[in-house]
Amino acid sequence: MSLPERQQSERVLRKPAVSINFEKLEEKHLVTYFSKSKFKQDAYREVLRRYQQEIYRYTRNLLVSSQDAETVTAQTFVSLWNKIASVKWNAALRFTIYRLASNEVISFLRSNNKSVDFDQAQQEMSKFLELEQDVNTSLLEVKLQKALCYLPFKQKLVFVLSYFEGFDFDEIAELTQSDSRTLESTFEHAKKKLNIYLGVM
Amino acid sequence: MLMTTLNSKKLDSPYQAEKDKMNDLAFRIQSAAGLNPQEIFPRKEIPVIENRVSPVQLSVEFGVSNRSLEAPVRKEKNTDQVTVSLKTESTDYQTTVQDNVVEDKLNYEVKQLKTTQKDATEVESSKITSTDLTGELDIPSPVIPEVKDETTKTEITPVVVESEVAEDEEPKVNSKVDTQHERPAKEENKIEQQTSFQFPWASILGLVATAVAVFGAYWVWNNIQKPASVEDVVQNVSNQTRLAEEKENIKKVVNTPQPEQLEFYELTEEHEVLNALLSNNTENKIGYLDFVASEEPSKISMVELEKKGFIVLELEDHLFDPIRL
Repeated sequence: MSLPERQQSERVLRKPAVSINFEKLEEKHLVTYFSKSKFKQDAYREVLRRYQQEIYRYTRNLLVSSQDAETVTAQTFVSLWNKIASVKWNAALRFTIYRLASNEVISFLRSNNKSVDFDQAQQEMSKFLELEQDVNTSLLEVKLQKALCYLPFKQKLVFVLSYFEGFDFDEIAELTQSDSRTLESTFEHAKKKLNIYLGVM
Repeated sequence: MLMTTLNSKKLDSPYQAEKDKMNDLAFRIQSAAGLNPQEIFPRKEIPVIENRVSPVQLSVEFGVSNRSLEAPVRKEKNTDQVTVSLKTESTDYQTTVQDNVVEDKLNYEVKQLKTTQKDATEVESSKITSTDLTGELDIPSPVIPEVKDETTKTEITPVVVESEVAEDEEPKVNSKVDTQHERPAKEENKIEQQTSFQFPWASILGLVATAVAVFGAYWVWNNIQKPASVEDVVQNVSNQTRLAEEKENIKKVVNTPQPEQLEFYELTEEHEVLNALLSNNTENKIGYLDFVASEEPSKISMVELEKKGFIVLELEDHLFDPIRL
């Protein structure tokens, strides 16, 4: 069998060993299968199916570069797989994955630049907006993304989590281990700055 | 504008995760995790559209129809048409005779004008060119013989035609003249006679120009103003001076300043402080407050104050402590 044929055959959708429809399971039931070795892989694949695109978009909002976003997304889910059996799933699955992804983004930025300052903006990210070919959207959304590149990373993170991902400030506070009032203030700061940047752009 | 946009309309993230890209990423993740890679996101199958368009015929078959039937008559091809103008005492007529008749019987000066005419076979071949795409155009028809491309149109004008000769030759010519062309020639002569009458445009134009000149002179005569008398001039000047004086009086009334009532306020101590702050006369010391260490009601009030723009809170440095799972 040639290599393309083998790859094609490997991509054939495989059903779980026991017919459990993971797609219809709620999160709290799905996480229970993580500790069962027989169903762990299929449950993990279901997590991938549910959250991979979402996490990719979240990391892409933070990092702009598609290649970096893919790398961080992969690291996030590999990290999840490594900890999947040992984690006590008290928190929601989505919340945990976002926390992992946020940590991976910060680790990624630190690995690229050890002296990175999260109180400063990473303006160099805006160049990816022009380079990436798959950004197909209206002008206002591109402007917003470009303005986000000029925000300090902390404000950008809070804004992205609140505005794009729909977390409330208590959840973001828990995710970042910070104070919700501070985050609320940070969000207001970010909005004001975006207002100024977009007025100039 | 943005604030209203961000508050009123929810903007989505512009980054779209494509299924194929996500599938590849899922393969990478599963491989990195040590799992057997499987397809997570079903790929879109590209529907196969049947090509139901009927094929276009790109060739023309010459052998089916007999082109010899469609070929033009050879007579029209080889006949040199000669226009002969004969002047006799009785009438002028114009007709078409064959070339050999003119050469034998009449002594005319011949002007030959070589003109290239498209014959019928060329027209037919051009029609074939428009429909044929196979490049078989140059194949000559086996039935049609070779035809001269250039025909000679001979225009003959009589130099000296004696009446006797004309009278003698007239019946011979008429005997070989095509009778079908005789009637149109007579009709053309009638038309020429009718068109020989010229309408007197020049005289009509002259009449029109004269009328216009008369009416113009009348209009000018009526519209010329009579010269003004001295008394009228004096009256106009006096009126203008009176109007100018009235305008000056109006301006004077408008420009007179009104005395204003000024109000005086006494500055209290608070006003003095504010004045000093506004004029930057005081030493402005920025006070730092520890937001994290402050109590909850203070935090709430500080956030409210910041929302309204009275104070600016710095960000925490401990926002990203390592997360413990």
